[in-house]
Amino acid sequence: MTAFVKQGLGTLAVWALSGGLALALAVMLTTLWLSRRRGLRACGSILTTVTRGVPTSLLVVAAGIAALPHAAPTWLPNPFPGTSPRLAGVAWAVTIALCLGSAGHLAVILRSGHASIGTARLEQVMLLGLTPVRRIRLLAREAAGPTLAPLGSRLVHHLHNTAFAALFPVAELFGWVQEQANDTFDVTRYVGIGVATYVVLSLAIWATFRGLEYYLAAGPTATRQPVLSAVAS
Amino acid sequence: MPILIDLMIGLPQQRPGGLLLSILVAVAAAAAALALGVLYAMVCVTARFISLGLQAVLAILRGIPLLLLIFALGQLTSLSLPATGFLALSLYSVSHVGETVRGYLTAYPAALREQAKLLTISPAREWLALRIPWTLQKSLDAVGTHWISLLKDTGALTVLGIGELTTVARLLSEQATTTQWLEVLLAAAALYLIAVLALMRLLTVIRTRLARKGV
Amino acid sequence: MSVPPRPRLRPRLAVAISLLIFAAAAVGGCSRAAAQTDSTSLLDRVKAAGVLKVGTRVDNPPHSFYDPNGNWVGFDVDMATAVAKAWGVRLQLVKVDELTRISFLQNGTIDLAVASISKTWKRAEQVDFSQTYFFSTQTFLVRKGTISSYHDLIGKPVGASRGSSSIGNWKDWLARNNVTGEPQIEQFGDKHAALAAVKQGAIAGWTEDYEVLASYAKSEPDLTVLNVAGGTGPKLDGIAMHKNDPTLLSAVNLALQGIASSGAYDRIYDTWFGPASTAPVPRQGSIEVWPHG
Repeated sequence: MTAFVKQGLGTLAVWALSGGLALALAVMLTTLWLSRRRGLRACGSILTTVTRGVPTSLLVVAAGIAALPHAAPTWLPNPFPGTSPRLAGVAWAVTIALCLGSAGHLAVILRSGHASIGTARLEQVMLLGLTPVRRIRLLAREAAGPTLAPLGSRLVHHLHNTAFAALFPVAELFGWVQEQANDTFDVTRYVGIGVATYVVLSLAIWATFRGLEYYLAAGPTATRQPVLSAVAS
Repeated sequence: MPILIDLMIGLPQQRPGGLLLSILVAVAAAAAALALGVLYAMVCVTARFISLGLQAVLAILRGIPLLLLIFALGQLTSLSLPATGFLALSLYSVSHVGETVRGYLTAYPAALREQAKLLTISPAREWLALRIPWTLQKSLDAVGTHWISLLKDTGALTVLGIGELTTVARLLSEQATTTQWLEVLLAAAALYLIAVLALMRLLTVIRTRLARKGV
Repeated sequence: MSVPPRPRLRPRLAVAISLLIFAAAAVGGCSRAAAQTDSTSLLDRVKAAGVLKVGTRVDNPPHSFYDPNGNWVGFDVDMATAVAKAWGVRLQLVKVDELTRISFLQNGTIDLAVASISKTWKRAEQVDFSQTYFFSTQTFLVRKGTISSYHDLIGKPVGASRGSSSIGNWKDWLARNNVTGEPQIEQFGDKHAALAAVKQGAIAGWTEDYEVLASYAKSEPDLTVLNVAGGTGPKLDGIAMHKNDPTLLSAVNLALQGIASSGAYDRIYDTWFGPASTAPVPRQGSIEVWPHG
């Protein structure tokens, strides 16, 4: 497998793992935020603020340096193509740092999506007597409209943040661009390839979220009846 | 202490720099991007045919990592380096903000549109007095989260050698021992966190005022 | 009474807005002219303008960096100043990094790059290099008491900066010493991360330019530079310029000769690499100076 393909797959692996973890953490932070208990709300707020406020590059540097002295344990999987098994621990540390860097931002987007539903609609849904799972499904669909676009944007930004992994010997596309450009001085060519690859990957993420947005807009619950009309009918 | 001052306002003979320059550049780029983003969203909502092309352009722009966008603009344009940095940040910001504002503008409630029609409010007035303020208020959280990110993203200007906070931190750390290096980076992180907290407070104040106005 | 329907925002206005967006996005002008768009040499344009734009780094002590007072100083800065003085033009320094030191050269933002650029055959396909103005070697930074020679590093993971010429030198050294197989080279994007990796034992050694390693080792009591004659290979720095401009190339080389023969080179070298400097580097070579004839 060529170095370019390995580094590209490495980027995707880091993005997918850290992005997935970030979304899960964001859901947790949003749940804490919406809790009725003051302590939990404060906890969610503080964690969100810190993860939003500290630059991701610094989180990655701190995590990478903390992980460097420790050889990766044998049971730790290495799902990062192009990264040596010895440094899988560093790759995981960088992945977790990237997750923390985006989780706060994603949590805020999820929260604003929840807020866009509006109190009247939330009360309406509560009054319908649905099970919690159905309630969440219904509200998620209604919040998805305004949420999907910024979520997609944030995950594209997250893809670009994976470039920080190149600070360490973790296989990543930006690292490949730096290596080739510095080795051959054919900067324009390799930066061009890097840009094109990032654009293609970003467009794929964007297209996925636009597709979801379209699907939800065209789906059975697409048209949300205005509250007054719903009450009148 | 001298390190802290350098991080806050830039190296001697390179001022304004450091955190101060990061904030100035971020504010200017965010303002330019918000204005363009609102225009973009308006076009997307009203002229669907043109909007597809615009959305494609913005999607491509959004796909380019900021570091490489700055580098590419520096390569392709004849602007001065500070102007290149400002343009790159603005384009980068509009590619995110535009999409967010578009999403919220699309979700503008049909009921409010009906009410405007019933009250015979002109389209221009409806846009300026109702739709845009509603969209801005609803998208404040998402746009605000991008602004927080933008403040930290000004670090990418290090490619052009512009002396904002990340560049100053890198330069100071180059001359430091490994221990001091971590101290410099921690100090830079703390300054970013303080700036972000201030920005978050500002966003909360704006959100509260807009809510009181009944937008 | 029926209410007439209100028109939607007119399509013409939407078109105007989109044109405005396109115009705003298109601002920036056309691409900067390359150095050789016509038959005149870049040297003529530099002398006509009276300004020599030189790209140099700010994060590479002692070659080029900011001192505590914010002054841009270093060996490369002094060499660039001396070349501008030899041509009788004003010097304008432009900050570059590892990528922009070449891209700015290629797009005309700078006329010359004096940025601690090691000459290699691959790089010479993209730019022209002057004769060597700084001679050094590449070697390893290791933990004291762990590694005493390059042979101790065989089969062990080592670190290097991404795309550095030191990678090629290490591979060549291994080939010369009949070591087969792919060496374990971990590439770092940050020098401090590589330094930390050596300190913490994640890598057995970090290969870089001798003088860079010496300046780091000065403040790291647990680390030492492997001082082997000839190192893993030579590091020959040249001034980079746009390709295929023989007039410019000749002028740069003659300027370097003038700097060497006047004694200015000795003064500059002793300031940054002499015995009393922060990173002493014994002279490994000298600038070729021709007799006047």
